Amino acid sequence: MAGPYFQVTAKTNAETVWKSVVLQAVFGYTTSYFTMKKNIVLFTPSLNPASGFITTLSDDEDVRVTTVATAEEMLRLVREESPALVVLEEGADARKAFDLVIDILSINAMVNTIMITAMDPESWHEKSEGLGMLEPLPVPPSATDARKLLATLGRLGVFT
Amino acid sequence: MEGPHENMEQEEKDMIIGIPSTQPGGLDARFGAHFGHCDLYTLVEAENGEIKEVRTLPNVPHQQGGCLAPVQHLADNGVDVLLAGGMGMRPLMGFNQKGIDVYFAANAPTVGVAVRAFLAGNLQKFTQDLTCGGGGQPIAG
Repeated sequence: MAGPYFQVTAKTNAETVWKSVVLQAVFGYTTSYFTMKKNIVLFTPSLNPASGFITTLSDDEDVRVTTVATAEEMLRLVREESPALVVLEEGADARKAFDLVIDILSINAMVNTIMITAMDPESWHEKSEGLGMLEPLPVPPSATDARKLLATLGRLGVFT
Repeated sequence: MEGPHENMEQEEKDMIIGIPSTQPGGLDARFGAHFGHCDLYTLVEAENGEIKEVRTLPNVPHQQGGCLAPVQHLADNGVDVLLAGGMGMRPLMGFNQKGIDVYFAANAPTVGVAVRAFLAGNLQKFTQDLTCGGGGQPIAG
């Protein structure tokens, strides 16, 4: 059964709707402005939705943040929505976090992953080797970490 | 692990083989050990087990976590088979999900040697136990 989740959608305001209408009218776009956003899935039960990390991500006009409460819901979104990134908190599920990453990649290896962890760099490198993950986030991640993450995603071409 | 002759069926049709290479590429170029960090790719078009055409393809910029950029790049350029020396689990899964078969050619000194070994059915399919961190013998990648 799918677990509860909620979406933090930034810029769901008149400006965004107006842009969508203009795009459709001038260029004949059939997709809405909303669908151009890249989905970032957060499986981070201990993070406050009002934290600087989450609000900084959701305030980005290119990003739609979806927070999930269970690993099953996370994997369903990976399967059905092919998010640009999954942010995974170590210890969020009874399964080992790296096993969940392998589950994600088995569904869609194009999905980027990043882990929130206090693991020392050597252990992290050893355990994450070959999984193609982004550099880990500290516990707890900050607004600055979110800005760095968005910049990294930009360099990877996620927003192009 | 699948046997060395698993690819025999593929020889009977046209295919594009991608090989990580050092400059300037081509059959005489040295084999690139790191598929994501290689100078460029040599693309070999083969038909019925014979080499028909050889050309080169520039690589794309690579950074940590960006190992799927070369996967998409090679898929976009019609590559059917990749010969590789080292690779992580994520790009291997990515190639497989894109329908690109990967074969293990770590010890090939040149691109030409790797291609001829593949066309002769002498290369093994790259499986997860060969990947970096895959639980088997670690391979640089």
